[in-house]
Amino acid sequence: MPSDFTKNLTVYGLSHAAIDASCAAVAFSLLSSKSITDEYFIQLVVMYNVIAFGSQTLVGLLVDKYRCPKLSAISGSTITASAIPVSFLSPLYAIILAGIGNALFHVGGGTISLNLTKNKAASPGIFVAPGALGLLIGTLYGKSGSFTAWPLLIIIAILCALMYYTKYPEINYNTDEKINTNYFESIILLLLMTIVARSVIGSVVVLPWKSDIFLLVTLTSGIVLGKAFGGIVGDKYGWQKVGVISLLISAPLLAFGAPIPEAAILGIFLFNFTMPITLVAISNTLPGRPGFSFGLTTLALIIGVLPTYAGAGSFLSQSPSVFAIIISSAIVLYYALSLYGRKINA
Amino acid sequence: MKKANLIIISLCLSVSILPSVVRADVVSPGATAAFLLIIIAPIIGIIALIAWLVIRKIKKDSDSEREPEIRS
Repeated sequence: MPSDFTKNLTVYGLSHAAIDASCAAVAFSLLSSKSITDEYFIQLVVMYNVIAFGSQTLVGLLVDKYRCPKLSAISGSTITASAIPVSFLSPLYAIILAGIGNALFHVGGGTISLNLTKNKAASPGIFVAPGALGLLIGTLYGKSGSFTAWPLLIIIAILCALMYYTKYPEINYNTDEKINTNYFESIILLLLMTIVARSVIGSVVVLPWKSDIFLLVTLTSGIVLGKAFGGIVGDKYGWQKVGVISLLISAPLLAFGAPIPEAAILGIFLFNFTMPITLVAISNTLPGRPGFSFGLTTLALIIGVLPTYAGAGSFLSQSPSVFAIIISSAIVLYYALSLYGRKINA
Repeated sequence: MKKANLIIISLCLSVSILPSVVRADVVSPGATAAFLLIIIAPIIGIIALIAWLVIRKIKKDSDSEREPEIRS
């Protein structure tokens, strides 16, 4: 019999992939069905991102207050599922439902994953990793022109049942744990800055070979494995060492090797190592508030794509800009985790 | 109670303003992503402000808990 740890990680990891796949499928099916214009599609995607990522901080506060991560994950999945049939009637309301459902699911699942291995980065990394795979599958399914509601609805229904019957770990809601407040805000701000930088890079790096399906699948595998291994390797060899070195190696690969698939995929793999590390460092700095911590990281992600929405993407995608942003991110992460280490030792 | 109200009002505003913006853009196709940003950035800003206030409160609460310990 698999342990509760394995069950939780499998069920919530698969659910994460299914939820992200559903959201992407809904959005891209609207575009491929020609029911909306390209410009309207972009606006809907912007709106979806703002609702899905921006609201997680607020959802996290509520989930922590009412201590309901499982309810949040299951209701989020159900709302996301409802977006699928609604997409055939109203693109706007489908996108709103997908955004709200996605936010609820992520906070619920994220809270549970942060408590599977106390203060360690491995579990949250493995929980977040399948999202990229789900996005790829959903995008391809939505674009295929053969998008139908029932396969995703059945999958989400099964996963909701599994989430309902899976006993989740004890969640640490103890906000009375002592925190060393000397560097408290600095640690959080610096960690969030590295997440903003990661989001900027993720939204501006141009990979001209992405139209090749084999390379696209390999790239997505690099993202998935990077997030999953980042936590495991970070826990084993130290977050600061692993996070900073992986960023430093990824800088030239992404800045100057983007046209070369092998270099860029290796760069993306290493670049994603910091995701679980920053998430858990923030969560540990804010003990007893896993939902809020998870929401802060997604708020940083949406802030990171704002420059692209504002039209600065072409400037930021230049090789020197990419290189400078990643190197700056490595320096900021180094200082953040140095202060974090002092906090733990204090 | 005040904080809960603020959170709920912000959430409602975010969800209610955005669809109106998108609809306005359909009526007036000249509007671009930059126009959307004028609306989106303040919403993100409000959420970030709330998050920051919460972080400040956590620190303040922790400081007030530590004060008697330091004195003793």
